[in-house]
Amino acid sequence: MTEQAVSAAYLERYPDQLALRASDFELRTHTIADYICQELGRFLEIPPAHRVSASRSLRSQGVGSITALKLRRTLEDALGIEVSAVDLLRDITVAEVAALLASRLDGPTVEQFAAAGGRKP
Amino acid sequence: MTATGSAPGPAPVIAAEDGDLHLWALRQPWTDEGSTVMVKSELDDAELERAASFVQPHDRLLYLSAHIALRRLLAAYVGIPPAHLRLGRAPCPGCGGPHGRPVVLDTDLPLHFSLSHSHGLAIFGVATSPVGVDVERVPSLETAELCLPALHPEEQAELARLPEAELPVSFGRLWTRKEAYLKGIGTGLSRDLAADYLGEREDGVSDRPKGWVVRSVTGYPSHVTAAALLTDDDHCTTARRLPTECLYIEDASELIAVARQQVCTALPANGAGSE
Repeated sequence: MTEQAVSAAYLERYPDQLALRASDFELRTHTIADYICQELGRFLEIPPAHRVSASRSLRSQGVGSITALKLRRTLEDALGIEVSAVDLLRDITVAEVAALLASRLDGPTVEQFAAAGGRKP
Repeated sequence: MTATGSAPGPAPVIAAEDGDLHLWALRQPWTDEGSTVMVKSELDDAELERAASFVQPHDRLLYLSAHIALRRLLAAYVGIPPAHLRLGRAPCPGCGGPHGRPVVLDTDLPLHFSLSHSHGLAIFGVATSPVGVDVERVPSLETAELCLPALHPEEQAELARLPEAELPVSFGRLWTRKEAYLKGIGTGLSRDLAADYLGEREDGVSDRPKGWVVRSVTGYPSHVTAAALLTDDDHCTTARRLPTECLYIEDASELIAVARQQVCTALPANGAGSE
């Protein structure tokens, strides 16, 4: 299974915090970036042909304070960590925001993951 | 533009009256054709770089319109040509970093300003004491409901009592008052959004931030707007429209001086809460 396919599968059943925390940093980052782009596309009412880019900042793609606040709440619910609206409005790319958030996720132990019925990809 | 500091220029054509708040509103031009003839040469490198970074043409156009107008408006207050104005940031009161309130450098005038823009509309606040303004398009019900838990508990309770149909506008009004205040004190969103009460409860005056008058301002039904001013005196808030021609003509000072005479709204002192 390719990384993209694994990531897409995660998105379908998102939020699966335990599975996300059990994955490595690169996959976490990729999954969170995909999730941010997906949610922003919805929030900003962007047509499918103009997808949100992970390589650009949120501000440059039309995110203002209220959208940042809305995204903050969505990410906190999805990831189970505190997210700062200021971080979302910094001059960093969506991928960099995702890496920042990925670094704050503590991974579960193998036992915790197995006890929850999970299967590490 | 080359930022070379202050340069000889005309005398200010507008005086910021002591303690009063001047609000200005600019409607974005309808098409991006205008951006080719706007006076972009007056912007500095950082502004041009930021403008170029916007993905959507309408976002870029609004940013350009707002920042060209800001320079021309401030030039009318300080008497420094727009292209020679140097804008900076005061230290953040929270961490000391260089991202506090925006400031005009190279002038001894006690001039404070704030800018906000959203979906085709830019609002400018100019005063002799710290000021913050915010404008947003009226949010959706989903947005209001998602953002509600971040607010002060009393603010949440006030909004929770409203019929669902009133929530988007009421949340938007409250949010813009909060953001205007946070811009006024210079922290922006780094301050806990639940720390300050900016609600509209009639008996809530004593709970609102001391020394600040924070009020909603009407005028554009598609948007919600608010302004915050640090003041311990009676003051008057006046609102005016900035003509879009000021983005295109070679010297906008006369146009702005004329617009100065045309007050759209005058709000009296003691305006805590809303208009």
